[in-house]
Amino acid sequence: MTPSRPFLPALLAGLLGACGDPGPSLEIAGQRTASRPSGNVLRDATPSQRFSASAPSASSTPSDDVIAYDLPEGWRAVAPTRERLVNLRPAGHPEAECYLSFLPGDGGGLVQNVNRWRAQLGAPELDAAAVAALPTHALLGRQAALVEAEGTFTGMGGSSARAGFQLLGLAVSEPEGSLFLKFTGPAELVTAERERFLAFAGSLRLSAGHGTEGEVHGPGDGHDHGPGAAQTEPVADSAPSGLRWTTPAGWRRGPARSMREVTFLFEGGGECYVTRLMGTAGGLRGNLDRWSEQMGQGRLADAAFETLPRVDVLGTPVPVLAVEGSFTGMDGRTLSDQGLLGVAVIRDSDSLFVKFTGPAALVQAERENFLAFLTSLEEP
Amino acid sequence: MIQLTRLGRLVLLAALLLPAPAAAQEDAAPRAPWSERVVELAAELPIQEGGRVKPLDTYAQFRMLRMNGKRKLKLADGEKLTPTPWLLDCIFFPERARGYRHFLVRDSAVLDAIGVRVPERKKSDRYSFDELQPGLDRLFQEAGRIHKIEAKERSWIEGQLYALATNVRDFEDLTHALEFARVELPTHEGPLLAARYGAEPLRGVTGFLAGVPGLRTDFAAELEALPEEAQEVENSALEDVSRAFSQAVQLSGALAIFPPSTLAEEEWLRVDGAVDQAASGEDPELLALLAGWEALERAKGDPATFERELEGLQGRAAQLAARRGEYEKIPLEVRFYRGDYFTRALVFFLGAFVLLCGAWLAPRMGWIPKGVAALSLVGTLLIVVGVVLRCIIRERPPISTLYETILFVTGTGAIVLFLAEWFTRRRIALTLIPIWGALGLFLAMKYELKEAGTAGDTMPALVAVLDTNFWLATHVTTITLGYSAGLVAAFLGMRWILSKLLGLRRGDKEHYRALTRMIYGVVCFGLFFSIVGTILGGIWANYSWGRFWGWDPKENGALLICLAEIMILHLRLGGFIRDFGLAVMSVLNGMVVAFSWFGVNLLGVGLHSYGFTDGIALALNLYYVLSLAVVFAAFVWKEISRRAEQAAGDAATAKS
Amino acid sequence: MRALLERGLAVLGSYGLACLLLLDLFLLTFFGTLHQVEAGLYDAQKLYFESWWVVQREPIPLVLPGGLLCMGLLAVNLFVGGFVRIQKSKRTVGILVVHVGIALLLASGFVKLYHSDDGYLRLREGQASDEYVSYHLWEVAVWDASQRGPVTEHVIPHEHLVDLTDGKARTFWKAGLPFELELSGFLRNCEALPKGPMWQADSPVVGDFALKRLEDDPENENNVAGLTARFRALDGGATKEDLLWGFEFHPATFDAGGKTWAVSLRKARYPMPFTIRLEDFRKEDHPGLSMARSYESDVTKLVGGLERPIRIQMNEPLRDGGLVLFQSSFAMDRDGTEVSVFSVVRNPSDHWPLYACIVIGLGLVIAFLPKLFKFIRAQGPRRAATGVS
Repeated sequence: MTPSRPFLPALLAGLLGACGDPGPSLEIAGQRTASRPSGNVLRDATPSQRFSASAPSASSTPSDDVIAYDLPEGWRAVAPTRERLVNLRPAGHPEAECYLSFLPGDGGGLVQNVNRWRAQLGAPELDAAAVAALPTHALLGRQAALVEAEGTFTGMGGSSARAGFQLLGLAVSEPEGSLFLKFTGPAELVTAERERFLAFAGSLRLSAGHGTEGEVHGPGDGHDHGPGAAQTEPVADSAPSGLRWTTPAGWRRGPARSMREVTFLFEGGGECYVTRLMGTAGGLRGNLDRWSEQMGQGRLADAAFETLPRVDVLGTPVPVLAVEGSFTGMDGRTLSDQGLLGVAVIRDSDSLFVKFTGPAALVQAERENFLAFLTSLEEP
Repeated sequence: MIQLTRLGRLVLLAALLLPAPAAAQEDAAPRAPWSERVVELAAELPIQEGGRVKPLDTYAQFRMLRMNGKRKLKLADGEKLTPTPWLLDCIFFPERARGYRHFLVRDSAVLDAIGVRVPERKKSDRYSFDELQPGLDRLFQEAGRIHKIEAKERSWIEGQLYALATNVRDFEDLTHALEFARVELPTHEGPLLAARYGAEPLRGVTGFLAGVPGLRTDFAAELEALPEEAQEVENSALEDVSRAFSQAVQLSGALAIFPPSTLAEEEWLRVDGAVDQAASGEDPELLALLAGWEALERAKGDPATFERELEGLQGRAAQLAARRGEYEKIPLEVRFYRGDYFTRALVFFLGAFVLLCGAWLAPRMGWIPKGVAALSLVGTLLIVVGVVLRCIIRERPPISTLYETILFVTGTGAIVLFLAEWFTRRRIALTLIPIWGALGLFLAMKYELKEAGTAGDTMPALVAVLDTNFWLATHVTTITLGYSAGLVAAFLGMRWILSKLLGLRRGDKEHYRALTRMIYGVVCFGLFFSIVGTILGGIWANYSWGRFWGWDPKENGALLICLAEIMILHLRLGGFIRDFGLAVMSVLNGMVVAFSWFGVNLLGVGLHSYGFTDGIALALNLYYVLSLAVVFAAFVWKEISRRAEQAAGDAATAKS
Repeated sequence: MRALLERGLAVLGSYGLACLLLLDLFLLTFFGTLHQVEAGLYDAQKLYFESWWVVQREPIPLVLPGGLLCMGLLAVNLFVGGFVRIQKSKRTVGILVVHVGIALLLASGFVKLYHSDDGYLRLREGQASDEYVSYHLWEVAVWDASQRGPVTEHVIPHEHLVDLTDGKARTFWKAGLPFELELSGFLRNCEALPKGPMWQADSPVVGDFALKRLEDDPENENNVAGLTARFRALDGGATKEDLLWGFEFHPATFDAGGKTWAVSLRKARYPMPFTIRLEDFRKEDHPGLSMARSYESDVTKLVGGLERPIRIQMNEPLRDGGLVLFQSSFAMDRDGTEVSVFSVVRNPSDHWPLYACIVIGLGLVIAFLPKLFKFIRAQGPRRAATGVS
């Protein structure tokens, strides 16, 4: 037999298979035995249980964990979807909906988004000035434009037109991302629920714990102790010694250096670091005086020392030194308009110094973060 | 080829955004030209980069190539620097190197964008760090912005700006590479420290490091024993020391030149890592290496001492690397690059080409063809030697990157032409060898430059799938031989068409018949390797991924060559084409080969797009246009000669 | 009649047809490659290489015989022209051998197309499985939900589902099943969403939910199919309408004949004759780079109470029981557990290409070498004449 024969029947079968329709009624021919059922059978499961991510058996989507809110009275929560982070049925009305969505990027800009909504109700377009003049309302820490429109609602499908509808929406459009909170329904309902809607919008917040659930890291990508990226939100972190803290938003951890617990680097040349020295290391006053001198301000006056504001660091209330002036570093260079924030936690066994230096404007701007960082410090 | 991780990108971005660290003080001592011995020793210092340990010389070459666009730098005073001396200058004499015009800017619009104006320079010219200095803030600002744009989406100017920013940053890193050796630690400020380290500030970090184990055990107790006032002074001094210390160590991170202490660790250390290890006191060898560099820095004004110190340092580093089995190829690699085989081969081919032109002018000189053959033979042998050395250095078959395919195609193509000449003795194939060799090596040079910019080496680490010498040796080699033969056939086809067009040897039927046979033979040769290579590729895919054929673009490209060449064979066997058709088809087949070799990589999809290519698109399009022009010319010639024959026929019938 | 047959055979086996078919395959390959850039591999494959006809609008309008038709005809052409009608002499031995090899290659292609499955097996460290999952094909499984332990499933294959578009419906039944299942409204890529006034459903609304058609993803693996199901009990005729969605968390259920039946739309599953448990996954980078140098998995193969440790790594798959398991990629779960992904292939013609390669290579050598020698011999006198040694 020539080896060319096997494919002739195959070809024939292929030809038949391609042309033949098995018809409108067919016996199920396939049968197999599986070692376990493919799927968790829930008798008479509701569609919401079967399809939506919030069902208990779902492999988690982050949506329901991320955002918390106070549900307005009489409103009903519907399962969130991939696009709708929060999905509500206002006053339980079947034709009304209210949902929060997030888009990465500016989604075409605020003007375009506002007009997209308005167009869905047949309302005329607004120009940029009119959009800029829209009233605003807080939405997840941002000022969102409040959009209102009334008319015949055509929605996205464009098919099921509903007369006498109203839209109430909040839109934020920034390059980092866009937030849309949209409430549509019969006009009388929307008007009646307006206050509840705004209260609900104000109650939206990121739930605690969000932000610590990191993305998946590859092994050995240096995430643990190497230099890192600036965090957009506070993140818990620690040094090899066991010292723990919460890195303030926008702080970037620098490379590990000898004799330092941790260093943070800032654009424009600022740095903040924690040093640990043995013993009392020159004492509290001595160190603060030295720092003040480094900034060209001479030793602290007694009165000034006494009146320094205090914060609790590692269980001890310590004075926070804040000086501005010209900083003279070890290399002899002098930089003007510098600022310094520093605390010294002096203990018998060892002492901890936290020092933030950099351009005065930076130091000032980061003051709150610095204080938050101090209070977040913990030891094992 | 090397993908930065997200983290890596962010670190790079941060590095670009941070202001340039101020240069520490350094003596602007005049530099005597580096002695040959020093250059030789420095060249063989081992460094880890791009996933492998290589000579400092290789590192210097590709850094210089990327920054400067070529491997030579002519200084204002007439001195010519090759890569290793240039790198030594950057490291040891930063002040001087900042005046070197080694930043190639291909378009002055880049400088306009950062507000730098240097009068009397060409559109594409070279600039020094000092000249760029006023625009650096703007440059890094721009780079920070461009960094957020996908590489594919960047405009040409943005790409150039980003490349310049990277080069400037790399250069600055090099100038800071010995910061740890230059730093002055104020150990004299604290009495306890002064008692240990002397009354003068300590130069370099190793002196301090050597005392660290002692400090660890005793210093705390000594400090406790002091009165509070003295403790304060001591602590202040210690803080100053540690600040200066860590700043210097952090700045000197350019080179991974310290072999790790244990064999299990594969990543070589930079200064910070070496300092950490040395500080533990458990690795005296690393401490000695650090000290060796410091001694070099101290001795840079004194050539004799410098040479002696470098000898010691090189020996020590080589020994440590050798213990890890990472040194034995280093001298060979230095020799390989010193040999510069491919540039020399190019010179020989060009020489042969010049002779060839002479032969056209003075056809009667019998020695000229022999000269062409001899020069071409040397050129070809140089390619062979170069490729073989690369195989030995990498411990791999000849081809594992796109760059190496160019060398291989050039070399094997020349050999095929030589064989054709050997069999026919008609000086047809011979005349093509110089042109073939020169074009191929020129392409290789350009491609090497591109690789310097993207991969920083032409012997890069391979992705996991490619890490198999068996398949690299079989599939990759055969398929590339197929490319080579296909292009040689196209060359011969062009030769046939152009000869006809120019009316060369008009009456010599035997000449053209031989040429046709040659084309046919080379196409058959190519088909053999293309088919076997393509199927082997499928078999590899089947053994690696479980599918013989996946319609992946690179696979399709190989299939296109096979189909085109099978078609040529059947067209000829069926009598559809003859000499003319064969010549035309072989030229068209050459286009298919070019598409398969480089074109599909430009499509940007598929498993095989390992070599992504920018300037290559231009060369490729040029080749397509040239081929089409030749084919077009062929048809024009055909039409003209048909009319001429017809006219002659008409005249003949009219006569009768 | 006989003359006509001769004529037909002559055409079928002609060089002209061969050249035309080769040209067709050339164009298919070329345009199929370009098509991939935009539309993805799966689409290009279906459109150009596994089709009977290709109607192309871009980049230039063209109608071509598709890959299946072309290669089928090529096989016929090869058989008639390359075996039957070819002159059989010493001269053509090599060519004949080459044609045998090509035929073997084509045959392995057809066998692979019609008789092989491929898919993947995704295991967390410590997890075990005895089935693998298709990348592209869907199936509907029906089973008695009361079963414990091994489950007997009735399976409706991909090809009986994908044509149920444009209002076409098909009723599935099986002796012993107390209900009929009518399926319709196949969507290649869709999402099950709570129905609001905002969008038009692409399926009936069941409960609050409906299916919404989504743009096809060029990476076909990412598409999630959907179907509309209507159940009708054979006794009493109770009916129920429900949706099936490829990403559903629980199967649809229907009570009939005193039992609860489960129906699920899922990626096709194939049993393996053994169980694989992932013990450990390792990835190694090139020093100083974040580029993988190698990755490998230690697995245990369990069959009939016997355990055998095996290592699977790049370029070194596991071949067993007609299946081949390849290390294809890896991931990490949220909790940091490493996940290894194997591609699994069952292909009866697994080794045929290798044999074909050897045969073709041999044939080409037999065919070309004598020609080369002849050529060299013919040039011999000339070489002597030029006097160069």
